[in-house]
Amino acid sequence: MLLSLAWRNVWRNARRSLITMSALGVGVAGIVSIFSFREVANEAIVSDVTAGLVGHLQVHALGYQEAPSVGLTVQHPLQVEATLERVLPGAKAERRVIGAGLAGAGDRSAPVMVLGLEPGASALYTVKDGAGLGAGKDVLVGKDLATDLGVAVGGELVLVSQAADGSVANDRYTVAGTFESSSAELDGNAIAMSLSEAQSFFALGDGVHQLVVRLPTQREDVQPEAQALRAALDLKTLEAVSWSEMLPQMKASMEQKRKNQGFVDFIIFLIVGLGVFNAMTMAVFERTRELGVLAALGTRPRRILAMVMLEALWQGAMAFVVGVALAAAILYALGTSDLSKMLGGDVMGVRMPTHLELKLLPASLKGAAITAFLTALLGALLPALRAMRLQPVEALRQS
Amino acid sequence: MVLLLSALLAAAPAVSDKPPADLPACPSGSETPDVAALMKRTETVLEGRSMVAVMTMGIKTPSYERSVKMKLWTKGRDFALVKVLEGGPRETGMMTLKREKQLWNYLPQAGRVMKLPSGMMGDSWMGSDFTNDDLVHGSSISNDFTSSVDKTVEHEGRKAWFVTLKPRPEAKTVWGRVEMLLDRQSCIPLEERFYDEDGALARRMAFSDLQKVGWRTFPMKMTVTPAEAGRQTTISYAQLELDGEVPDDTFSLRRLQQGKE
Amino acid sequence: MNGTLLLGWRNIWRNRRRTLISMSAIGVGLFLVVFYSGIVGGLLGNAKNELDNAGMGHVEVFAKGYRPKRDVAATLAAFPERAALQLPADAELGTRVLARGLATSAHGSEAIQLNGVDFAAESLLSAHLRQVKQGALPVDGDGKGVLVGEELATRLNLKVGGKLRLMVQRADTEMGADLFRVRGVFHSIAPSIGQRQVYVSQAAARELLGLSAATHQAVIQLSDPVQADAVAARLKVTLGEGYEVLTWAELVPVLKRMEAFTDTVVFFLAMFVYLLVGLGVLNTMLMSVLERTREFGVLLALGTRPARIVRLVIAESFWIATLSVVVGAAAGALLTWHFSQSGFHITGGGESFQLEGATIGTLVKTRFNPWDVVRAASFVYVMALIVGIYPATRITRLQPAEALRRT
Repeated sequence: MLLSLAWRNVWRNARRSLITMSALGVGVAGIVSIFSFREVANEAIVSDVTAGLVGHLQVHALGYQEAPSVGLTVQHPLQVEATLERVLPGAKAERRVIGAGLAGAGDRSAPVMVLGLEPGASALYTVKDGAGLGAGKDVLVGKDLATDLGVAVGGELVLVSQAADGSVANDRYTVAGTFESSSAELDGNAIAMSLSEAQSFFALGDGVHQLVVRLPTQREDVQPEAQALRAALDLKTLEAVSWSEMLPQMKASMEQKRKNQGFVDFIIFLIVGLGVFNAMTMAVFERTRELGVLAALGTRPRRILAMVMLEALWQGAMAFVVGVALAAAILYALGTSDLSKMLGGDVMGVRMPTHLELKLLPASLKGAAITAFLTALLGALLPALRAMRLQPVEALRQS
Repeated sequence: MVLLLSALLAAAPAVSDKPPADLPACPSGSETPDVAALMKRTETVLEGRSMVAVMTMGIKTPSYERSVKMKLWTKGRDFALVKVLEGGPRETGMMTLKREKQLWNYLPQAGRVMKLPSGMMGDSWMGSDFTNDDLVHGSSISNDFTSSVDKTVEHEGRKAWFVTLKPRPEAKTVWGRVEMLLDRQSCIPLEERFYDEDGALARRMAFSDLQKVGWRTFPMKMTVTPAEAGRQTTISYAQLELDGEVPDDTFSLRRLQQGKE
Repeated sequence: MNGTLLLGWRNIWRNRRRTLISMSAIGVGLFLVVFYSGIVGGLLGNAKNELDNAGMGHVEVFAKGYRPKRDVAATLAAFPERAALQLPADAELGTRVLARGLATSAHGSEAIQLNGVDFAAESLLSAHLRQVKQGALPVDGDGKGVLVGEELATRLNLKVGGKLRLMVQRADTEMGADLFRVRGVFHSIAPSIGQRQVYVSQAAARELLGLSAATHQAVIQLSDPVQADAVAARLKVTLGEGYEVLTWAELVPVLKRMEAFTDTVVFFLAMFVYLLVGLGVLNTMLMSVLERTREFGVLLALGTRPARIVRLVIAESFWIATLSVVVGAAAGALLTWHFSQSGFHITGGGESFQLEGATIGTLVKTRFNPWDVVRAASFVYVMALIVGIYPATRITRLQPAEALRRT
């Protein structure tokens, strides 16, 4: 009864209500699309990170994260892998050797990062020229490093480094191909070889520097898994680190963007709320006489308050529906366009996605709904209180 | 022309087993010897005109301990060649050539020579407590430091002069001060301590196992202890020939590239 | 008209409450738009800061053949004087002698990048040279002074006055080494700069490298990044063959891309905020006019000419718009100016983060540009006036009887 009364009131000044609702609707659309855009972009970045060099979690020898050194290796990694797969069902582990060295070709030389990778395709890179990574003395060279050193496919490369036992590691390799990766760091500095070759080059036995763990989840927060893993590992010799602990700045920048959303939401709330306040004040003004009559007829003040508030809420609800539809349309339009011009590039070692599967995230609706209804409620509160406090006599005298 | 010269040199009387005529005697009896003469003697005795030696380098670090057997050829301060006789499987046959201020490594496993870029000069040489830079830049006591004999002390059962070396203002040395304990009997250093400008000890070098080599007494064992805990490098000579003739060809880059010593 | 304006002024205060509501809607909206543009302008204007933080130029010149192998023998041998380069008057120009090498103290050694600079010119180009925390910049003609970063000083245990030996590969491929004294320790927001970059006078660097009178790099920073392409094109013509002239977009493409990205996002957000404010103003002005339909009806019935009522309404809109725009713009400008002085941090944690070799500071200072304020104020003002006129024109079509019937 009150609801339908409020509904009729909305349309008594249709023009004003439509303007108020469109402001509210645009606000809702803004909140929903910014939220969805950001979260989809974050998700894309997280999936890049976790699929790439970093993974969801890593297991190292204790102290490696703090101060990586060629001698700090995870011994018997296959046993650790077995533990890991038992504790975290569905998780995949990848053994990796990472070392530093000096690479020489002809009279050029450059400091390099040497990656020892498990056989098979790797998510780290795509082969640009030549063949994929084989076993033995074949290496892949980052495309920019290959240019720096002046080597091409089939060329020869000398590597020197210090092995884990302190001896001078040195060997000659054949460039089987060049690679391109999602990171400028790798393209310009890295050489990839088979895991077994890297283990023998650095005299590691079966030890590896990193066990990179990929979880069957899209979640950003993997702390529960990290905790579960820590509980099962021998923490006297090993450590388990999550991607957000390895890339704290990236995590912080994601968090900051979320906080910024709060700021944007607040501005929207202010602007739109002012509009609602204005419209409802006018509405109450216009109906001073009528409200006075209602009060004179014995309508309880609380009912009058509810009626005015409900009118605003109706507008909020309609604006919410329209705004969400508008956001869906905006996201659909953006989602099908190429973003490479805007987004391409490397942020903290991780390539930004050039194409986002933009979609409206249900999670975004909560914030938008709260903002829409709060705006409507708070905007209408003062006018509604005013309406409630109207003295019948005075109200009738007015206008 | 070059061939002729080296033939002449080879024909010249070889190793003399006598000290150079201008070498000051070791003033063992003096409490306050003439520092300049003392330093000159010490330097001449330790450096020699040339050296051919077989030595073992022992390296101790918190994470590993190993030893490498090497053969060493030097000529003056500018030329040196080190060949690994026994080391890690991929090190045996490795050679490091120093020509003036530059270093090349012959890498046996790779069968290639690589010149060391300047940025790598600070890296450890073969995992030891010597950097590549230490091999290239020795400093000359008489040129770089002013010295004074402060007192006589007892060191491991031997009487030694306590010498303080202060760098000359124009000297290209990074040390703030060096202390040297000089054996009064042989004029050979027993210990050298290197301090930074704040007076903190950065590195200690101990000399021991003094033996008669030809006319001179020579420390056959040398231990380097950096300030960093748990590290030590020891060099001990198994064979040592000083002031012999070493052909210039030994230090040729071309020979190194062919993998020949 | 004067009389109408006066009447309008009196009219708006007759219903103080309604007027204040209208004015606050417009004023607060404008305030937010101005402040928002300030933040956005600060973010966009940062590109120049980013280059300054890293000591990079909008335009850089190298000798052909230097960059691929950093060949110290490839110098800018006959680089002309500034006058011949036809640079904009406020452009900052500096040249550097560059070499990679090793710095050694009693406590170890670190790989470094040696910069032989003219300290006066360089402190305009590199923000960290203006952040000397201990000691001071080496003075002119100081052949043995070196400026190092805090990170290197910590690693090598260096203090002002302490010794540092620098070794580089000379132009003739020999090694050159000399002993320097630390004159100052600088702070950079980027740890990698503090760890790697080492500054000596140009003369000292040349002596170390065995060069006679040449440099490797010329760095030009411009007050307006848009000029970069034009300046580079002109330099290419002036300098001719033998030189490589690069713009910041070529040197650090990520900065350019980021700017494009920020630009796009900011454009859409600004549109969005303007749209919201526009709707707010529309609503307010419509309300204040339409609500008074009855009042106008009375006036019409009393024989007032419609044109006079229109003029009166426009006068009222004028006052409301003017007052609120002045107050809103002033408040927005004040806040923007405040943050243009003190700045605020955009991310938690460090002072900077690294982006493909670019250093991005996290301290954002809003850009206080009077034109931004004027632009936003004009938009809102025009919007308010137009919206104020529209309902006024309806009055002319109003029938007194009908108007009176409405409440």
